[in-house]
Amino acid sequence: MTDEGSVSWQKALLAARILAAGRSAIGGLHLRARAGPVRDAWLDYLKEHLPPAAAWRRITPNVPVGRLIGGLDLAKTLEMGKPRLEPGLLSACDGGVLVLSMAERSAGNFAATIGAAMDEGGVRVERNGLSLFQPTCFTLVCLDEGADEDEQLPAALSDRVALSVDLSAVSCSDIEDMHCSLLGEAAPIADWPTTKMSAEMENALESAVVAFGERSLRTSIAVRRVSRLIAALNGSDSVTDEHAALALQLVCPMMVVAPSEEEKPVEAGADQPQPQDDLPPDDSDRSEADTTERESGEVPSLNDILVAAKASAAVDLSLGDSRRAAMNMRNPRGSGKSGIQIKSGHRGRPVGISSTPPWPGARLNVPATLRAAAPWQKARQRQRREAGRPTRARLDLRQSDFRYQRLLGRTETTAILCVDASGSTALERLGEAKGAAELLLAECYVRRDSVAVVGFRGTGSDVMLPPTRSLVRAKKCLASLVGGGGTPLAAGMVQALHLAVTTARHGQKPLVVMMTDGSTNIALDGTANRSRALSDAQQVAGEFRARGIAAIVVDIAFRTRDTTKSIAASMDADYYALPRADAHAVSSLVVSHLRAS
Amino acid sequence: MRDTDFLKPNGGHKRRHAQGQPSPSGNDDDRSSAVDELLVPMTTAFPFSAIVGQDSMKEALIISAVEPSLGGVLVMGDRGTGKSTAVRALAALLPKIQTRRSCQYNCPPDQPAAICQTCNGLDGNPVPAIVAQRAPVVDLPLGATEDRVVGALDLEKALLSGEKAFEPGLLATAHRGFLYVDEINLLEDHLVDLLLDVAASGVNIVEREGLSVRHPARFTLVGSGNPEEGELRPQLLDRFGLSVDVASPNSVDERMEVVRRRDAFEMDPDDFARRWRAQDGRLRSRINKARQTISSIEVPEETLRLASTLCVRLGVDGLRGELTLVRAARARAALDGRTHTDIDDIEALAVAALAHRLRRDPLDEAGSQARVTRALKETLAGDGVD
Repeated sequence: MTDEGSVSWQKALLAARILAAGRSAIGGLHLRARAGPVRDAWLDYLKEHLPPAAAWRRITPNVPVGRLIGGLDLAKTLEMGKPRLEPGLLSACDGGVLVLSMAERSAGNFAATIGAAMDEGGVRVERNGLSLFQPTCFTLVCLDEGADEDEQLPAALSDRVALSVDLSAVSCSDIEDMHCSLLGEAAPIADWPTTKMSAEMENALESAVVAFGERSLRTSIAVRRVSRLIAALNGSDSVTDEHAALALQLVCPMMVVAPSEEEKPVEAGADQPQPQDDLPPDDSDRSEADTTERESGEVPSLNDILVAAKASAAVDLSLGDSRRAAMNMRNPRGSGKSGIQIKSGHRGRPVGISSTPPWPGARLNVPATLRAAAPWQKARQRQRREAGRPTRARLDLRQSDFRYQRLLGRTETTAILCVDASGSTALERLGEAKGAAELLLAECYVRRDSVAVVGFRGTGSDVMLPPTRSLVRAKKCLASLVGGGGTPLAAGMVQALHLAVTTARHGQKPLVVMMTDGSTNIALDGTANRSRALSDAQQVAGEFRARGIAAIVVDIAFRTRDTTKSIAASMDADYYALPRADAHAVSSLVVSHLRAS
Repeated sequence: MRDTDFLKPNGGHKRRHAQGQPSPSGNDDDRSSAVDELLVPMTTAFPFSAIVGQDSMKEALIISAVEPSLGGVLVMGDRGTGKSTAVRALAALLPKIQTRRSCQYNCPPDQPAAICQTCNGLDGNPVPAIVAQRAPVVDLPLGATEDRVVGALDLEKALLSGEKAFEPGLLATAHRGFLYVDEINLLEDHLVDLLLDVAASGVNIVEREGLSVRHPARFTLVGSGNPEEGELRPQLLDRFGLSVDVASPNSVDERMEVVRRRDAFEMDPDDFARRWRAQDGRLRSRINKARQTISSIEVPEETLRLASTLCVRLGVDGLRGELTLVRAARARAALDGRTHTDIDDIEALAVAALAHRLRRDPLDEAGSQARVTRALKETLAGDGVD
């Protein structure tokens, strides 16, 4: 739809102008787009509107945290004989823009380091014997190519960048129009923070933010600033409804732009707890808002947004935590667990140093080696003179001085519990699986393992808990579990396999735990056909073996069947019969497997 | 662009100014050298009293300022709730400590650390004058390297003169003050290991690069983080005296007040700080007074009994929970200007002092805070207290 495309392109251009005017006061921008001409055109547009001298640095998340912060400049240090700082990337971006590509792959401490610099307006360098605070003020543009649900910008960054733009609907023909029609020609004014905003407007904006379920106060601050910036860019000295509506869409677009997509599924799941008489007015409100949006092809007015916000707040109240849980499912990664794929301990993040090479060809840590060598220089020079050997000009290094970098590869595992949620005993089983997941998390903090839960029932399967290390998140996500219906074993196995492959791609070691009684009656295509269902399951099991995914099968049937054993054999999985699979038994089983692996 | 060639501060001590400031009262007179000015972040901290709501966090921080032996505060909660703002704001409220000018170890003048060259006059200079300065709040950033945390060989001296000198790290700088770790659940394990031992023993022992050094490092550990990033190791959890949870305010009015103050602050930080100076000053003198009176606060039998019954009922291991609870209660009473502790104090502080010490039962839906509250209610209603 080119119409949709040009509307979102216009919004993207507006966002670029706002960013260029607001800069670090609004943190930055989250750009969801695939690499391509559209994204490049947008970045060029942003660059055009920045002062020509502004720094523009592009980095990827595999830059070591040390490079972000800065550290000892060895060449200079040796030359001057005095420690010299090599400024990090964050301070090199001072006054300019830091473009973080593949931002969705950022690891937790990488994101946290950038976030801390944004909050404090500077970098705290406590590295290699250097200690200082380097002020820096940059604008962050996060390029997010996340394709899957489980690849999302870490919350530490998305919380700190005010604007959010999605270019996925924009086509190449849309970007020919490089004129931002949402703005007048007025030049941006420097004193935008003083733009007037009425108390009612403040109240309305804040109510909308709260109603949309945004908890972070940074969002509230961002909405106000962006509203003022839009007003200022339009040459207006006070914020109007239009400005505020635009701001809301740019700051919390997920919530505003597509209420129909976002709210409906939640509503459907929430039929029971919601009082019946609440539904009709609710629905009509929303469809009204929807139609106005669609008909005009323009941005919805503030009023529409507020109506939608109120409606979603009504849903929110009646649902309690489950909507939030659902929202968390969409944003599953609290800490970035993606990052570098590491199979051996030869790679990973630096953890301390050692005087013997941890493996042949280990990387030398030069600052540490220098430190080790430095105190002996005078003695060695003297020794050389006394021995009549030529003295070296600067540094006399011996083998005993060498210090090596010890690296910690990610040897973390992810236990994927795949649970039969069908039929009458579903709730009980799910309850045990949930308990097992939580127990595992509680026991696994030292090993830093993650746990995920996949459930299958009816005609398909769901990732009920995306891989996580957080007990808090697990509790939230597993709070609203549902069971019942047919038994699509093969679908569940496919989902678990998919998750296992993704996990492995993120550098973690998956362990799939199938909790099943071996019965299955729904084939992969969703039809009720017992024999096809079984052959599908066998086929998927073969896929597990082919890909070498570690798995265990927990037979939870009261009378064990041969099918379960044969599936386990096809998967190359260990088989355990635990007719009364309780949470403790399952978790200790998994833990013993994790230890062994 | 900015000249990055100035370098480097004399180890820790200049950092302290960067941390202990800004003093709105302007009586920190020992910030003078030009290098210092460059290193000091030129930002004014948000005034502590201007923080809206979040009473449990504020109370826990103030109590830890009154009673440093509590073992610090852990603040966990939603993003953007002002956790780190509050900790940095606390710096301006801390009482002053006596030490010598340019001492890198914050030695008390009457008993300097054996290693301190400055205070023992071992560096050839006369022993410098005694100064009173605000207790330091030292940031331990996630990207810190081991050598800067525990201290290491002074590279400059080693390169220039071949002298083997120890350059103290952040742990020395934080002595008698606060050590703050933001996003503490993301801190690398090897740094956590370093912290654990020092936080328990109060002594930093360095055995590296041919150095063998020990110096006192007693600090109040303050950590903050978002629980969704992951769990904290139980050993580290145990080092904290109080642990509080913060959540974003839900009421529109409260949120608007937060946002308004933030905007006003950023528009003109100095003016904003000036407007809150009186309130901050009152709070500071309350803390100072409480520090003086805390040793004379009586702990009546019933408070003690309630605390220990509660701990027994909850199955809290060891005495640390009970001790922390009673100490915190005394600090609270001192802050209130009372002469003895009350049942009230225990009630108010039980969750913060005990919830994080419980053995975690992941199958318990309600969580450990609810368990503490429940046990408290039962104890108060039952035969625990007469």
